[in-house]
Order: sequence, then C-alpha cells, then structure tokens
Amino acid sequence: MSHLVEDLRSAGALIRRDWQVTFSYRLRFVSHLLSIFFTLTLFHFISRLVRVPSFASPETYYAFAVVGLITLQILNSTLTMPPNLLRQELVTGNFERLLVSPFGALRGIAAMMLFPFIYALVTACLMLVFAGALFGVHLRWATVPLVIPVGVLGALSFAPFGLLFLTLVLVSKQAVTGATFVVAGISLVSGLYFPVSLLPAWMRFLSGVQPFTPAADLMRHLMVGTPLHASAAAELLKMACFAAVLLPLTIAAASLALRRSRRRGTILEY
Amino acid sequence: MTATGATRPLEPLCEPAAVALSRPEPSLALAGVAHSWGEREVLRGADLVVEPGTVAWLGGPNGAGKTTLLRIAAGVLIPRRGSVSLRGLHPDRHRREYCRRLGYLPAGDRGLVARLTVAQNVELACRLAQVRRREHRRMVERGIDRFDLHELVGRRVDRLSMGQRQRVRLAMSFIHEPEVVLLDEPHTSLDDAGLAMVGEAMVECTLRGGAVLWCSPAARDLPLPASERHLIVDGRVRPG
Repeated sequence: MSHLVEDLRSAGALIRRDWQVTFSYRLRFVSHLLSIFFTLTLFHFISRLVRVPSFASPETYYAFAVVGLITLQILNSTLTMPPNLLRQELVTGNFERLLVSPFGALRGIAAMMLFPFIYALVTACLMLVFAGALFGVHLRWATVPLVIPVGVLGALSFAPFGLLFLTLVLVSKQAVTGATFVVAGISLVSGLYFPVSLLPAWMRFLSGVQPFTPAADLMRHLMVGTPLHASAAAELLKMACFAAVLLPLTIAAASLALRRSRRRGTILEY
Repeated sequence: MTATGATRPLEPLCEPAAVALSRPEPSLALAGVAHSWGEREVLRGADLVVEPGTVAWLGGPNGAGKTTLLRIAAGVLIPRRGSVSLRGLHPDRHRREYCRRLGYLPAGDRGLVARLTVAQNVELACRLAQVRRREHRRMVERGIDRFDLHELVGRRVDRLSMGQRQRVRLAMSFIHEPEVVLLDEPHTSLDDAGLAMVGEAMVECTLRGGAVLWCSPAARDLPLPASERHLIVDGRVRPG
C-alpha cells in the first residue's frame, strides 16, 4: 500500500512536470486553442454540404464529427504524444534519472502517458464548449457524465497501443512517424469523420477488430445521442477485453524491451 | 594523494570496521563484471568492493570503461557477465530498495529539465526518489543549502552556466541522502567553491556510513577527496 502511495506521488510529480513544461511555452496552448477553433469551424461548414440518408440534418453530422474529433484528441494523446515525450526524455538524459529512481523506468513510462491524456480531456471539454456555444451542438446532459468512465475505459483500451509505441521508441529510438501513420489509419477505419457503414466490407472488418470504433460509438451516443451500432454492453465488453488482454501483454513487452536495451547498452542511446 | 576539495587527503571518514559489524555487506560490490560495446570488450571481469565510510576514486584513460562500470553499478546497464550488489541488494531483484539507497550523477550535463526552475528540478528529484513526505521539505532545503543554490532557485535551468547546472545535478544526486553515491566526473565545470561543496557532501555521506565512488580520467591532482584509488586497466580494476 505504501509503495502505491509513493508511486502515485511520483506519478503526480511527473504529471506536474509535464504540465509545467507545456505551459512554459506560453503560445503553445493558445495556438492549440486556435487550431481547435479552426477545425471546428471547418467541419461546421463542411457539415452544411452533407445531405445523406445516414444523417437527418447537417447539424446531426456536425455533432457526429465533433465527437469524432474529440476521440481523435484522446487517440493522439495515447498514441503519438507519449512516444514524443519518451524520446525527449532519452535525448535530455532524464530517462536515466527515471531508471535509477525507486519509481522505476516502467512506471515512469506509464506515468508519461497521464499528462497527455488529461490534457486531451481538457481539450475535449473546450471543444464541446466551443461547438455548443458557437455552432449550436446540443448535448444530452443526462448522459454526458457517463462519458468520463467510458473515456477512462477507452483510454485503458487504447493504452496498450500507446505502450507498444513507447516500446518501439525504446528499441528503435523513433516511433513517432509510425504512430502518426497508425492514427491516420485508425481515424479512417473507426469512423471518426463518417459512419463506418460507408466503408467497403473489408475495411468494415478492420473497424470491428479494434477498440476505437466502440469507444467513438459510445461517446457519440452519450454526448449527442447518435444510435449505437451494437448494444452498449457489447461495446463496453469489447473495450474491456482489449484492455484486459492487451495491457498485460504490452507491459510485458515493454519490460522485456527495457531489459534487452539495458543488457545491450542501447538504453541511453537516442 | 593530493586530493583537494575539501582539498586534503581523506582521513578515515568513519570506522569501516564498526559499520561492517552492524551491516556486514559492503556498500558496493562488483564481481567479475564484463561488458562489451559491439565487438569491443570494455570490461573483462572487473572486481571492485567499496566499503562503508569510503570515498573511492576510479581512474583510467578515455574509453577505459569508467562510465560503463558506473552505469553497471547504478543498474542502468546489465553486465554481460558478473554480479553487482549494493548493501547485498541485487539491482534487479531488489530494484526499488536498490535505487532508494543509490545516488547517481550521470556524465555530462544531462538529466535536467531545461524549462523548469532549479527549485522545480530539485523538488522533482526528491519526489522521484520517493523521500518520505515528512522529510521532503527538509531534504529539498538541505540540497539547496548544501550546494548553495539559494540565489538560483527561481531561475530556469537552461539559463544557468555549466558550473551552476552541475551544482543542481549534484544536489539532485545527493537529495535523498543515499547510502551509496556514484558520481561520473563530478568536478566538471565546477569552481573551487563548487568543488569544496561536493567534497563536503562526499564526506558527509561517509559519516552517515555511506560510500562514494567517483571517476575521472586524470590520475594526478585529484580535484576531490579519495580515500581509495583504483584504475581500470585492460578492462579490470587495479589498485591506483
């Protein structure tokens, strides 16, 4: 128990550090806000063009796309930001400090995923506020609070993929290009911008074998009332299974990669 | 010996035998440690024992394997062969306890978060070292005092001189009052005052029953105290 408390405090210190570093670049947050605003505006006007049977009105599509964009933020926070952070740690030598701390490298790597996730949640809230206030997206307030546990479950089911990229950074010293490529692919097959029913059959298969589609589906359902493709229980179960099966496997892979690079001496290379 | 720093040869800093009675394990023990970088075998069965109350210096020319040996002792690297123990603890099997008792200064000017202030870096080091909550404030203040960082606490690390950064790094390495401190070229960029501060911190560690192992290439006019000298020759540790 005392180890858990100590680890939570150390993880908290890393979150605080990442927060302090992020906000030490004063324009970074402002430029991020501006890019969110422009993206939401862009999709607002694109939605005016949408006249398809899948959506009752342009507003329905816009709400659909906004939640897709929010899911994309969370996806990026899990898949592309942590590998960037780890690489910076390696370059600056801070990873060596983590390695010789009682907190440990593996827990340190896991903790590195927390700040980007929290940042993505804050960004998601701001996106909803913008979309609601400026473009009239109607939220289903009765179910919106449920987004938090679903978001956490979603993050847990995405985390193995993030850990996999972190492991690749340990092994190959670069993974960011790969992560960006994968995020682009996932955003395509999990229907972040359009319904998966528009995809060809083989791509629809891909949309069914990863946790991102049910996460986006559930979030949409809870936030803006889009109908679910399967029952909520089935979607939740699928995400939970991904987390339960893949998390231990990817933790073991990361641990193995760490040990291998310590033995080969490549752990401090970048 | 021409150690300076606290610039005089070290007297026995505490009674190693007395410490050994209560804690029979040496502070640090490396036995038959071998490591290669690709085809090049840097360490070929290095043995080294550092007893409590000792400041040991490890020398050797560039590329001799000093940094590699320190990294192995710190548990950063796993040796190809041989064993390492710190107070009888194994670097992997007892990882948490091992690291808790270890202070480590890596080579160069790495290991600082450039965008954070000195105080924030020292605080972070203290949190990662998992110092007890009630001890936290005291240890941070002690670290700032010991390396005379008061005037720098609010300054960002990337705006400090190299010598000032080195003092911050040293403060972070000693912050949790570790039992064994490994310092890779700790004198780098330090002025006389800085050297004296490190020397005092080393002596203080040995007075607590701890031990220090530090390395540098130069064999003459050591800038810091040393009660034992060792050299790496052909991948093995010899008396210096």
